[in-house]
Amino acid sequence: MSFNLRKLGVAPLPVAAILALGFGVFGIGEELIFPSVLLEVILNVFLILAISVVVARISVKSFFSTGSLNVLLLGTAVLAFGTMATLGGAVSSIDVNKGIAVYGFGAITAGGLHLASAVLTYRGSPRRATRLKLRAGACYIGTITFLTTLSVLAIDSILPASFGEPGSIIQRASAATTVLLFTISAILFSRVYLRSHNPILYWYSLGLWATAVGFLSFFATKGNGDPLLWTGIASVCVGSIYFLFSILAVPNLRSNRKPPEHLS
Amino acid sequence: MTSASNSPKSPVEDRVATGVEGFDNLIEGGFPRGDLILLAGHPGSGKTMFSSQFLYTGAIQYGEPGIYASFAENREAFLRNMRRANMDFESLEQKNLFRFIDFVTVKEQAIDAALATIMAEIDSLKASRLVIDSFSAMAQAFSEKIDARIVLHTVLGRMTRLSKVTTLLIAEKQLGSESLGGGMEEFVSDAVLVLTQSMERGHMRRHFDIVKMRGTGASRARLTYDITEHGIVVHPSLEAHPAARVYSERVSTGVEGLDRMLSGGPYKGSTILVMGEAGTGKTTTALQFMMRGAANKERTLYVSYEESQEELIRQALGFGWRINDHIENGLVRIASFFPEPYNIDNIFADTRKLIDEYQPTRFVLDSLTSLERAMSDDEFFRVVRRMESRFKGEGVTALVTARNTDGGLPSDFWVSSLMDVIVSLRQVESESALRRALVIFKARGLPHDTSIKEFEIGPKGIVVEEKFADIEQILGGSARRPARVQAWSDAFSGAPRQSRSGAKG
Repeated sequence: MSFNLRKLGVAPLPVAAILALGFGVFGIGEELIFPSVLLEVILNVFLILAISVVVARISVKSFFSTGSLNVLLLGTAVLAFGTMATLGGAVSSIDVNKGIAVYGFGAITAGGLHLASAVLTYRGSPRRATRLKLRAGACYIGTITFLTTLSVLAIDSILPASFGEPGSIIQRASAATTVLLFTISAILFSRVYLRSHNPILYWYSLGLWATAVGFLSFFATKGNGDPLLWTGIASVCVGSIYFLFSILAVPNLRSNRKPPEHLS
Repeated sequence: MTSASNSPKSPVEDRVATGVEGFDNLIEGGFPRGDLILLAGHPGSGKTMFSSQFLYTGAIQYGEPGIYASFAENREAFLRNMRRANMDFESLEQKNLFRFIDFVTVKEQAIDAALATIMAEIDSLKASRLVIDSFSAMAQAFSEKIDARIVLHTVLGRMTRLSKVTTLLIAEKQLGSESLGGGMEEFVSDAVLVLTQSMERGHMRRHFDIVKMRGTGASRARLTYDITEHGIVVHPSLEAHPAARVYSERVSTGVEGLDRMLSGGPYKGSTILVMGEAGTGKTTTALQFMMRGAANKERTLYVSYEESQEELIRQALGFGWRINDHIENGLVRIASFFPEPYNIDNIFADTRKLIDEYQPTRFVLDSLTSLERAMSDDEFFRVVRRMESRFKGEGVTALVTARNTDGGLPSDFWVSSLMDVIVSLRQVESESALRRALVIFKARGLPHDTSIKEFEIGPKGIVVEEKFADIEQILGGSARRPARVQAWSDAFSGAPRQSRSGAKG
């Protein structure tokens, strides 16, 4: 990917931040309410979930090759977020608040796992794990199972409804924690990028920044379909697209191999 | 004189045994009685020794008197040379079982007299066997070649057949020449045997060819022989024959993962080639194969061309396998040889004897590469093919190892077409470490797993693990991950990246 695109990639972040500021702080566009569960589902399934599966797949392959736990945690994070975003979107068609709760569970878990991955990556020289398949299974399946259980509890109203109630203390605390986790992760991955200049890390850290901005918007949202919500959704989608860019950004390494004799 | 009527006749009616080890059973027990056999060969190829064994066996074992008519060597030299080979013809002379007739200085005019003398001695001794050494020397006494031909056709031919005297006619074969003797003897003779010598890989090899043998179903395959202190020993080759029976029963290789890859194990009677570089675990695989056989109460013959029995036992002990116990209870036998071109025939003879005596149901040969070094390509191929066909016919499951040092694929090993199963073991460089890969290249008639699997040589032997995940170029010896996975791993390794030009993102 060209250097110009990398420069442009930064652009949506301040735009989203400014929009969030305008909608959230100054109340601009409060009347622009557009609830659309269908659009949310489409974005969640065909963008967020699809890309999260791709990232999770490449991460687990990398884990099998290297045994590095940080890569496994990263894959688990995106998978958790993608599946819960999809499940949350589906639940929202029945009960919006419960859908938001499910979405929140995935987001905060993804934030925590991203932070763990970021810390390990930042520290460098991750150790090679053993029993790779067992660990990968425990992480991926275990995490999804756990989150699904939480979601079922939320759907069955066993967990407090305020988990998904926009503006409630619990929902805001959840969103704030998610913002914090993604922000710190983004900072750490960005620092690793500044050290390595690896384009994969460039786009991945941007993705984390965009997701953090998105959750910042969710933090301030007041109701379903409000501009802040859509700003948040847009920012999270941009984040997913940046994750995709990170997969596509295979560095063009200078080869140390000699050309075949008949070509030299 | 010992009467022929008081001694046992030659083992097969109307057949005259030669007493040459390994030869008589190739010609239905011996020469037909009364035949004229041309024995041609290079100088020093053992013609005199062969013919002397023929006479000595006749006298000692069957009480059949014999005559040695020599146109080339005097009596004293003959008796002295034969004493060295533990054949005491002097005592046979005293018992009237042998007579040496010296015609060294015979000229043409005396040929008729010489022949008459031979006939007289045959009558006198009641001889059943005659050696004329040599017709080439006799023929030189004739000024005209036609005269030699007449003598051969009319006199010798009738003389031997009418009196039922089995006659060995020795002829010289010049080095570098294809003709035998004078070029006429083979047409008159009932049988033609040719002894030749040649240098192969720096060592003298002796070959024995049965060019012609009327009235006898003899193999026309080239044989090898040695001249030992006990006389000539012929080494018959393994006869290739179509498998008499095809087995559908499966056997275990001893490596569970390999058996799974072969959907339960190879068929009984299969020949399994395990090929790999040094240190990849070929011998360990062979030992595991043997130990599984012992556990199943099957007899295994392990023929090692590289390591001694003690070395193999020590290696097996490292895995906790007590081979000695199985040797003691007869389930395992280990034979170690170190093949070189000069001893390869003896090794084959010994191996065949072991197989015939021990009757194994499993056989290990470690390794084919050592064998290949000691023989010509043609001979090696024939040996491997005959071995494979014999084992298949007898239901012996064989595991053979071979070394490929240049990293070539098993298909590059040119006898691989004879193998039923080919397993390749490789060392793979991956992330600054050596890992081991196993792949089945061929499994005749068996559905098998074609994936490349990693294996380890653990405390209990070879353990096949999962297939290499997301790694390419394994068979090239230097495995690498697909580019995208590699890049992803590198990115999140956290290590500082060296300055690179042209990096795009």
